Amino acid sequence: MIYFDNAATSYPKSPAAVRAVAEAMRSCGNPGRGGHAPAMRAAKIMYECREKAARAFGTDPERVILAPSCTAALNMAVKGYINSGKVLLSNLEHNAACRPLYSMRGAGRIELVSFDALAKDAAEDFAGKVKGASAAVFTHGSNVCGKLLPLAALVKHAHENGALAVVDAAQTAGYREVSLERTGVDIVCCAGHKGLGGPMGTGLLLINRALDITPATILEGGTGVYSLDEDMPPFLPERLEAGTPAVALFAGLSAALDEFSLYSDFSAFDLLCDTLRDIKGVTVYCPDKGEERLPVLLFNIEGMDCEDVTERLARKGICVRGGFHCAPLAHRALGTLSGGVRVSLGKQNTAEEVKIFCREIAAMAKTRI
Amino acid sequence: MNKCTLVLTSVTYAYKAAGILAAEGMRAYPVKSPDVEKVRGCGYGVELYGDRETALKILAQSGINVIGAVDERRRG
Repeated sequence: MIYFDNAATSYPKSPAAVRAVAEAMRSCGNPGRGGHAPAMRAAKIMYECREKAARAFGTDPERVILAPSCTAALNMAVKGYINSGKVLLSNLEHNAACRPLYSMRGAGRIELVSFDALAKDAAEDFAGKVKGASAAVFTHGSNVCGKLLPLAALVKHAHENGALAVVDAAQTAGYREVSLERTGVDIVCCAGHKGLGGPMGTGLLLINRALDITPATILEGGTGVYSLDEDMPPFLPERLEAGTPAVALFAGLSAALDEFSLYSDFSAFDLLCDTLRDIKGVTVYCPDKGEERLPVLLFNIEGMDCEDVTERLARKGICVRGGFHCAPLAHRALGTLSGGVRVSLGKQNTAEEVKIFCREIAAMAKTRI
Repeated sequence: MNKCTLVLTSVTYAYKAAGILAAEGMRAYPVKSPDVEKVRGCGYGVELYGDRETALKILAQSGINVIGAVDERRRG
């Protein structure tokens, strides 16, 4: 099998992460709900996971919210930290960012303004629109075409205008440095199961040390502390973590973070781009070589439905994703309103796999010419 | 050896405090004890084997909010 769907989730997971999940299921109680050994073992696992994530992203452990997904983290960030006013978003956003914003707009709380992440100078377009905004919510890197946004520049423009910067790093965490400390970004949301290599069912909401806002809650319930109070605890992370967490999955994420290193070898991806672009009848959507990009691209074969392409590839044991990738704005911006085939590489993928893949695409394209 | 329980706001802070104190050479372990519950409903803290004032100073410098302290000798 050739697995080129790492933007959906990384595969395979490391043996250490798998072992950690199993071990936690065998040995853990409910964290923060008791003082006996299994409960305290679980609490330690959760804390260690926070500590490792805090180190990787440049914040404090208590400012790491362990969420069930990046989507949940984005909902907490958007609905918890943004009250009202004008909010900027890019034209490459995933529904995980758009839909909470649309929901707030529908309730009459916010006004949305889009900036062009595909513009020659995205930061300039952003700077021209951010004046008067209360917040900006934008992806660090597109899940459709691999385009990277200039994170530090956008955060700088947002802060110069008094706007909160919320970043969706679902695709970039593990692929590019995402430092709250160095960029000053207020809030970062990411998945634990993509570039970080953890299990599905894990996400992170990371809050900058300098952000002194008590967020509104979108989920209330048991926290194991302040149990006599009607309101959720006023402090992080418990304020945003109601209910029993997925301890075993975070044990897996914690183990994956022990092996954490950024994706750095782009040679297989460069080969993929160059080869696909040379195939007659194939249109490739991704930044050019030399531009900042993720190992993610979209392509279409002239005269073929993207879902037919992915189905044919699946029958040959090649895993890619067709369709709209939960990002209609990005497909509108790219002019791919019939969808496309996404190919997303991970650290384990090789140039040999890329060659096999490209031969299949060339053969398919040839039948259409 | 002096022993007391420092009451913290949550199990997260209990582990954070224990780590900070351990880095300073002090013995402290995260606990959920009746002492903690006397202060604020359910809660967690660290059981400290060492000088309380020194520990409180270290935690204050790290921005840790200690909401109470219960000495071993006061237990009934």
